[in-house]
Amino acid sequence: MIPSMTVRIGSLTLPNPVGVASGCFGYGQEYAELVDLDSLGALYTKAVTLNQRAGNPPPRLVETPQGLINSIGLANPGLDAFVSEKLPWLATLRCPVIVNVAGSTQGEYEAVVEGIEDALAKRPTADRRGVDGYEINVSCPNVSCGGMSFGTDSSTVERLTASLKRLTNLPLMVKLSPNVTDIAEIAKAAEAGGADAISCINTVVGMSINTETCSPYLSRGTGGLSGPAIRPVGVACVWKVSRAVSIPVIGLGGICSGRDAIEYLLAGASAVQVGTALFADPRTPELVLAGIAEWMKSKSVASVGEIRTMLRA
Amino acid sequence: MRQFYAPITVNEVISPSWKMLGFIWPSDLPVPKPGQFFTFRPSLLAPGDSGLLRKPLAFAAFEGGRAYALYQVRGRGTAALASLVPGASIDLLGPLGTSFSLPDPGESAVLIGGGIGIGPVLYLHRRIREAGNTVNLSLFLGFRSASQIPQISEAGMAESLASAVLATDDGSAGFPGRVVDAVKTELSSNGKLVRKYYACGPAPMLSAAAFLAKEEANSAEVSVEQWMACGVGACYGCVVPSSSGGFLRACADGPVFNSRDLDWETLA
Repeated sequence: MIPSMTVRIGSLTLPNPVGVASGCFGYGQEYAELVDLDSLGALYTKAVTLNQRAGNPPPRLVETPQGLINSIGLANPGLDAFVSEKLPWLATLRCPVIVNVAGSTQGEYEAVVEGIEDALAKRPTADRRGVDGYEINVSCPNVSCGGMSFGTDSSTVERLTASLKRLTNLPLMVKLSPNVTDIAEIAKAAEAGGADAISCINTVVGMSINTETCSPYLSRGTGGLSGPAIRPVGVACVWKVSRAVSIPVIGLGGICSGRDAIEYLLAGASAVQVGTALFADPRTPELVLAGIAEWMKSKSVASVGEIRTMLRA
Repeated sequence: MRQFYAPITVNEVISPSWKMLGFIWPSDLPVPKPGQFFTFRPSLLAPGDSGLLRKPLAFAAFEGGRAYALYQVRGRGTAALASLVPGASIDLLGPLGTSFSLPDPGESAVLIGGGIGIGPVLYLHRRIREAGNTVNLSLFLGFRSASQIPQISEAGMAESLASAVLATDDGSAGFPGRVVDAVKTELSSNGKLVRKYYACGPAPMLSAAAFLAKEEANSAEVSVEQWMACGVGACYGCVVPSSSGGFLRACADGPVFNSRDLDWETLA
């Protein structure tokens, strides 16, 4: 028996549960020579903001035990360049494409979704449209305005989600920050606003200091910690969130192997994303998917959706 | 670019803190150019181990289907690499990034390398020698001290090393002081010639080379180093400040830049 690997998110069917996380895969083209993009469960793009953003001054990266702290600062070419330069190419892919949307005001988030909806409406209906959903980034820790501040207040999350939901028929996922008192409460607010899924987690605020120079490694002092170091935090967040909402949860944070993904699926996730591990090995999504299939076979699990019901107390 | 396992042919000590790595290059991949680099993940480290990221190394030579790189053991990644013996394989991704452009026929070229950054400069020197149409080709290499000067016999690097003007910070060999000062001293008798500068090394050295070129209204190509995550242009982690505002990615827009394109005030 071949196990069923498809995952349903709102009106969208993902061919398999393993996607590539926003910020770690550019807009796909950068990895086209290395990864079979068509076999991805989903491609979550680098964040798109209304205007072009240069991002934060370097250094933007520092490695820490089992982790990586980044402070990129949502560097991206902006909505217009995304629509003219990235979208036509994304439309040639067969995997689902989820556009990660960020902004410093509610109006900016709305303008990005509207701008992409307008562009999609102009594309010939016979063509693949190039965008299959949105992931709303209310959790970036590396910008001074907006970003994570949106995702730490439940009424703001509900209002933003509801306003964006009115602009599109495509599935809307809300990507949450773990840097909050109660992530379940924020997830419930996103669900109340009409979100089709919750992605969690974004990076954990972290800092590393050079003890020779007595200065932080990163130009902004703090950054977002990712990689295996945060996996237990992500698994716990998925466990809490999946018990608080009835919409699907997409788990991410430090996934490097099939076993890591299974932990997230057992905790309650319907699908997963691979992020930082791509930097170590671009083949990770393929290896994770194979690992999930192998585990399912060994446990005689018929569909990937069943895994989240298997956690024993 | 491609990700593949490269069988190691040589991994030997060339100076107290440096090693030279040689490995078999797939015959169906383009030959790497001077300035380009690859990233590696030693087989000792599995995904999830500390030392998460791939590490970039620049090509120092290419001969007979084998590529070479010089490296310094600095962290877990390079320490793991240093422990591998010929016959072992490394997970390699390349060739990546931009390369140095060869001088136009008849043009003069001044090549400047500092520290472990001499690798790409040695490779460029060999390519220019092979092209054979550059007048006044000169090579300047700077080291902290005489003990750091590597002993290399492979892939034409010995010939380049033998023809180089050496400088040491502590004055223990060659010109005493900074390598760019050696350039100024040696070349001052030639007047203000039109020449092209090429440089790879620490940021202050690159900055000095860029400044010298600018002063003489000559052009310079520099290869920069920055902490890197993806190596393929996707993550925007390895940026350097651009002279036109904003940032450029060391891995995909570089690592070789025209020195005019970088903002030296914030870079160095």
